[in-house]
Amino acid sequence: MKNGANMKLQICQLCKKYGSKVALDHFSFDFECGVYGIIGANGAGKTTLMNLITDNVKRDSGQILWDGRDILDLGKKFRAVVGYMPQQSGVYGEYSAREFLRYIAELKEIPRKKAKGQIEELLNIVNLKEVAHKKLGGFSGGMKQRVLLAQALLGEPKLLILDEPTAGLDPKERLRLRNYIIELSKDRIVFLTTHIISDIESTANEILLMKNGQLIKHGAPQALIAEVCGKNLDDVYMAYLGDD
Amino acid sequence: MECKRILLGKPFVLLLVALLLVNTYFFVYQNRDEETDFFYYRDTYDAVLTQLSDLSFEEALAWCEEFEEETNQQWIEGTWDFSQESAIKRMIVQQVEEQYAHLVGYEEYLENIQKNAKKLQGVSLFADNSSFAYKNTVKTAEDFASLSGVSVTAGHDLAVTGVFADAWTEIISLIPIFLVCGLFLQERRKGLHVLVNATPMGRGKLAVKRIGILFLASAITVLVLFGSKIFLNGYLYRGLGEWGRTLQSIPMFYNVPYSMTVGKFWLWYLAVKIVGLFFAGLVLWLIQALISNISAAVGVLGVVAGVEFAFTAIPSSSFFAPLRYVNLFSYINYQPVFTRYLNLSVFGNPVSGNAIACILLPILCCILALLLVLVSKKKYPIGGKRRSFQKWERFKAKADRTFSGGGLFVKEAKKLLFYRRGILVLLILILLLTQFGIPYRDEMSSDLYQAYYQEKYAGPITEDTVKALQEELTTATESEQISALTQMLSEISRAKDGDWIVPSEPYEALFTVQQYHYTVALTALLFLSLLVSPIASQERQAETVTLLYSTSGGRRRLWLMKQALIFSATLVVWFLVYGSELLRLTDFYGNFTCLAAPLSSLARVSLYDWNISLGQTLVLLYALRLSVLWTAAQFCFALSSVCKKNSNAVILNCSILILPAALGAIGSSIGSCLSMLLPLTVIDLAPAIFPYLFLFVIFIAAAALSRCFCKIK
Ligand SMILES: Nc1ncnc2c1ncn2[C@@H]1O[C@H](COP(=O)(O)OP(=O)(O)O)[C@@H](O)[C@H]1O
Ligand SMILES: [Mg+2]
Repeated sequence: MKNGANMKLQICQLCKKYGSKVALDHFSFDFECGVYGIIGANGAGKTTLMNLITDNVKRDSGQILWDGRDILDLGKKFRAVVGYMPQQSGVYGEYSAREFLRYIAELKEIPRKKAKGQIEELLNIVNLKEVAHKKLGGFSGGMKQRVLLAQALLGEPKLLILDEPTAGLDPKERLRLRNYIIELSKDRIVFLTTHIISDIESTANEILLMKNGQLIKHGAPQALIAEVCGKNLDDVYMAYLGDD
Repeated sequence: MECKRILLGKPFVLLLVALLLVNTYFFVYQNRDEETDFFYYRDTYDAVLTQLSDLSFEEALAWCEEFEEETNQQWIEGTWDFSQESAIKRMIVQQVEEQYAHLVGYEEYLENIQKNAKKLQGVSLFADNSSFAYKNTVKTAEDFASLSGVSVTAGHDLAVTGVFADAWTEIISLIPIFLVCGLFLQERRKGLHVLVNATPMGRGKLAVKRIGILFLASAITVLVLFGSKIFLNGYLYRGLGEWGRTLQSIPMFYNVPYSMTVGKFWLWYLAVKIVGLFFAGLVLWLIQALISNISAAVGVLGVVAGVEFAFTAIPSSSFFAPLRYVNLFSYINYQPVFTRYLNLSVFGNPVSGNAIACILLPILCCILALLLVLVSKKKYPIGGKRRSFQKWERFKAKADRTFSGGGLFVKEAKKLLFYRRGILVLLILILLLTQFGIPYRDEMSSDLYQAYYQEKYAGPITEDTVKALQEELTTATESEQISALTQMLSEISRAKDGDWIVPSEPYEALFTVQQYHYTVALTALLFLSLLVSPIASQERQAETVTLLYSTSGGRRRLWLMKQALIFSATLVVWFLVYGSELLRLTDFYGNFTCLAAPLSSLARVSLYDWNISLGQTLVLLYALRLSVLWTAAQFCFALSSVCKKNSNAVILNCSILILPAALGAIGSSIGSCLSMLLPLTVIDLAPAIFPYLFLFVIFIAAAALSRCFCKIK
């Protein structure tokens, strides 16, 4: 399990309906080490997919396997390797940034000593060291976003799920984050959903295009660009998703 | 605009009107008499004064003394009629007598001050004219010299002294100032702060404007509340036309060295009250402006108030005595400062306490106002990076690193106690419990003897004890003694084998079915549910549920922690409520003794005839209470986990758990059936097991429900 080589997340025929609304329609894909950029318009089903992988939402049918075993059977063991940054998450306004991270570390059952070092390191990475003692209630949207990102990175998760992580970040922060994600992706699976193409262009090893809950196209960025004879990913997006 | 928003805004105006009503209510309450007409006291007072108005002071005083002599005689002879009217008249004549005694003696009092001064100046001990005592005597004589020749007159003193009969107005006048300070900070909470305070200039100007508003608010509050109080007392006691009287005509002010009329005194009093209230407002505002964290601000305010209050106890001989006068409380309650003539040593010179208070008050106000303007210019809405704050920031960072640790349980407890204000709930509970009484027991006239014999023969019933009791009966003389012994013997004759004689008073008090137990149970339920209500809803309110569920310990472990937490909360509330009950009860009725005696020994008050000891009964009783409370907490947890907001959880819990219990406590049988009141008191249900089985089912269901809601989104 320690070895990155046999990390594998397989999704087979995954379906999810909200009432009569199909949010995810027979989604299948195998993920291994690397950064996966998931692109789709709002409502394409990206968040639903992420919530299914983290077992925050009950699936209707299909399977999600981690190293060959269903994540529902693995339960807690699976969640221990996941770092999730939900698209819409609140924070406790009364907590300081550091206290919030310590709380999450405690929930992730990371040994306290190890967590302490990691938290200081992460606070540096997301550039919040100076304000780590301040109450989250006074933080701006972007600052909260960075705290949530740091929280996902706690405990060196093998599977990192970032749902629209760059929303609310300024360009400088985005660049920083992008570089950090590239560094991270060496020995883990990283999901990155976004509807902003430029976030993914230089980071992702593989791009997944989603529409109406279906996976309609996937491939390496360069391959996809070549296929539609475009200049960049924007052209790919327009070619596959821009018709309505 | 700001002025209009605050002073003409709904909250301030409505609050002022409400307080005016409250104030008037207190006035009426203070002056009412249950047996006579509202104006009876006043009319009698007025009649006596009118009757005496043509007499000289000495003659009037003699009349009063004679009247009192007469009534005393009636008391002794038994011809006193015991009517409320006579009692009031007697009281009033005593009051008037005091007034005239003061008027008769005032001139002499003034002369004595001068004579004393002269005499002391002649004594060598005081002739050292650099000593404080010497200077003080000289100053006193000088101060009072200005009063020689003033003419004191008789009048309706109650119209003035009635204003100082209670301190309610002093206390409630603080509320509008709290409100105004709160309104100043409102936009910080709403996020408008950034807009309003865009430039340092703007911020400074705004602060100055607000200082003006605070002063206006103080003036309005004082004029409305104290003005109405003065007017009402003046109206009730017919003193409105007497504001030209010399102030010293009223005994209360005999020690005041300033020559002034009652009207002038009222002006002065109102002026000091206005500035004093303004001062209190400035202090409050400054604390709020410096400390953005509301609970910390409340804490600091409490400490400041406590320290200030402690200062009022400084003895006047102390070097720090001026602190007693330059004090929030001397401005909030100014009358004692004004009426007491006392010179303090300021660098060896005598200065009157009143002067210290009044001279320093405007100076302090100016300093505070200046500070406020500076603070509001400097302070940034979020995270100031000014050098002056850097040290403070570094300290806060260090504190954060130190105190943000701890395990999951500690963190959850901290969340509930500090961030959800549970600690306040507990503090209020403790305060409330100190006000609780004790359960009563049906008292009989033979109790004293019974208690004595129970104590004396406590232990298993043997033939010896029966014999000894019978012997006591033969030598008993008093009828109560005899009835106590007879009753004990008759109880013994009905006793089962192995029963004891038990000092039963504390048990009786505990086992008597009564209102008291409902009140206690209701209190426990209420505070427990207030404490526990946000336990699960807080996660939904903060919208962190998705986040928590995706962590390894965010489901079962978190739920278990919350379970541990609600059990701890239950234990704390149980311990506080019932621990204090036991303390109060044993303090009054004596300790629970004979714990090994079988329950049937208490046949007279016994709950049920189970074959257990008294000690076991007590343990069972309190264990049952603990488990019922735990069930209630479990129930709150389940309800809390379906709520998206803390306030909803509190409302839901109160309406489902507390409302029926409250109805039950005031006597509704449906209410008590639908609530946990009866199982919690235990005593009412005594031998029934079914309710507890039912509660056990509720417990399991609630636990399962809270677990489910922690799982499915
Ligand atoms: N809790 C829910 N209840 C009902 N419909 C939902 C819910 N969550 C998502 N949906 C629907 O499912 C579809 C996919 O949503 P989502 O996964 O959030 O899309 P994306 O993240 O790609 O913007 C949308 O049409 C949305 O309206
Ligand atoms: Mg989404």
